[in-house]
Amino acid sequence: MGGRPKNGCYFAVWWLGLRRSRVTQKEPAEIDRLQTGVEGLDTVLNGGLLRGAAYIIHGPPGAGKTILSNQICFGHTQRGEVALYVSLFAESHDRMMRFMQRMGFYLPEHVPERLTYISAYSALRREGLPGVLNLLAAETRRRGATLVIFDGLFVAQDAAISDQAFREFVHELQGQAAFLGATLLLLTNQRRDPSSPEYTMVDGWIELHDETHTYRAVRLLEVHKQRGGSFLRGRHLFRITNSGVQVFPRVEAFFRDCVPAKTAAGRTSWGIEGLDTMFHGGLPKTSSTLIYGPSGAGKTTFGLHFISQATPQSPALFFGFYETPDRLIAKAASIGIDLAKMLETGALRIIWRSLGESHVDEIIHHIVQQVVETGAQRLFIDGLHSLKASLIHEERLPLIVNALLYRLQSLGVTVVGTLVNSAVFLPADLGTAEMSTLFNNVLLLHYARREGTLTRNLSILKVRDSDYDPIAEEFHVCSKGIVFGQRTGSERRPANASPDPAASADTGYDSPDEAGRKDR
Amino acid sequence: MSTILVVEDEFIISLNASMLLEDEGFHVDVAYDGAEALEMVAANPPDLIIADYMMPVMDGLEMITRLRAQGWAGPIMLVTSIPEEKLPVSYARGHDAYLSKPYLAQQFIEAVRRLLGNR
Repeated sequence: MGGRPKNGCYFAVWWLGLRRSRVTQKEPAEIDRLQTGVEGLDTVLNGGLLRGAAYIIHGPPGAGKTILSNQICFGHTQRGEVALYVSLFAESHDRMMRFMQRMGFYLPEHVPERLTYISAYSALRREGLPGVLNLLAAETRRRGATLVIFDGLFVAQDAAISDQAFREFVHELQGQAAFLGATLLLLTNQRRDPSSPEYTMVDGWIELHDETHTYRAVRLLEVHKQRGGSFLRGRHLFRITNSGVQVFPRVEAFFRDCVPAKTAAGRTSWGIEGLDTMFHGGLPKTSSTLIYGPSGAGKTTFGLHFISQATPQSPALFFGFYETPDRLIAKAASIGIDLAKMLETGALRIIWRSLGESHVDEIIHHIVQQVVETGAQRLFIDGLHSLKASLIHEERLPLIVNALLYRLQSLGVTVVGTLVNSAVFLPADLGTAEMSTLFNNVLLLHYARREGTLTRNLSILKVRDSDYDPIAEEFHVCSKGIVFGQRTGSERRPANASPDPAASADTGYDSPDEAGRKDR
Repeated sequence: MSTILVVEDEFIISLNASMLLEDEGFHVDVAYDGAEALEMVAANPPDLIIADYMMPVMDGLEMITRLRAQGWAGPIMLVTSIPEEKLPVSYARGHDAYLSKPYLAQQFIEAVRRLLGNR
């Protein structure tokens, strides 16, 4: 393969002939993949980039194209292959390299033997686009590169004398790379109409978004096209840290094919005798349970009992957003549960995650990753309402929770989650109907007023496919934890308490609201 | 007037270097890859060669190795972002001076002056 023929059409025909003969030698189902090494991206691409294919990576300045492409290069060189980074910018790539040196994926020992950075700008100035093509072909071949990054496609477009010339350039660039067995990534920040020829001609198109919603900024990656390969559609969250790019496939898309396992036989103990009795033996294994109630009603305490039954052979995971591990350990100790020992033996892992700027996809992937890593059979998620707070588009919440619960069930995990309700007493309306339908079991905690004191009550609203005691049971929390049943007279109201100002108006109803309705 | 050959594929770097050197009173030629530089040295030997490492067609280290093999004894300054201690072991250290990229204008001129003996 020598220099570029004088007749560009001849070259195109010649190359097409070669390519056609190469394609017939390969079964469509066996298209090789090039793994990017970027966490989550290969999942979105359903296995990685297609080898020998050309992709446009498009995004505004600062979107992350340079970091992403460099990270892919070093992932490539780590596998012993050779990459070539060609820039069409007039600016020096030394500055870019300086920034990349701060990234965790940068491997100085691979530069320049396995990853070389060169500029094609001088070739463009002296010989135009044909000069760039010749340089790319020669360098790809000379170095044996199987991954080529071409940074600055829009510069080529500006240099082309016509749209036709630009189309031919992209076509020939793609053809050269494919013939040489190199995967080609074309970086550009110019937003052109999707019907523009370059998007039609390339095999794949990945777009990076950088959006601001009121005060929050979010980075999203979207695959528009991957010819010959499936991918996860829609926009997927990604982050850029000192380690590089990390992609979090959108939960509803990632878990969509997750088939929930059949509900396992047997019961999982709550760790509370009375509650196990109400459930006629305990929670159905691998079921999902929602505990719903006002702040301070005891939702977390129920969760502590639930995870206290874990063992190193059948561990538990506590995932929360509010109480730090130290506070949880102290809280559990006050009711006779030794979380510290459970942590030590591996029966329990506590993950506390400050909400901050977290996004829900990141949180869900973290939960599932921790479950898989620990082999947890019990999972307690304290504060499901926090997921809503981390969402930019709240309408996703039921889809996300549904996908998560299916995934957890497929992993054989029994899940208990809590959701806060602003109504202190028995609510007339759950106000969260969509969430309660997603869970197999729903428990409601609420306060009631009896004989001048506030009592805590639990009602089982639903247990899917199982029998249960359909009555509201009073419970209290003592040094032994949660105990069902009414307190004794002296426990109800301390002897030195001031007289109850409402004692004469005590109607015996559970809540003032209910009293008001009955008295009308 | 001394002649300096700048061998650099990045346009902005070669432009900046050329302007600096011309302001200092040098005549500057530019080659964009090692192969082109070899031709230019054969045709019009410079007083000093300033060479980049990573370039298309022929990189700076190969160019320096070939020049020395051909018997060229003039001073050569290697300018690259690759740390000097990280240069390939197989390279026979044919350069006379090393400057790390990115560099400041003053550093660059001082290095050139040292190599040319303040000519």
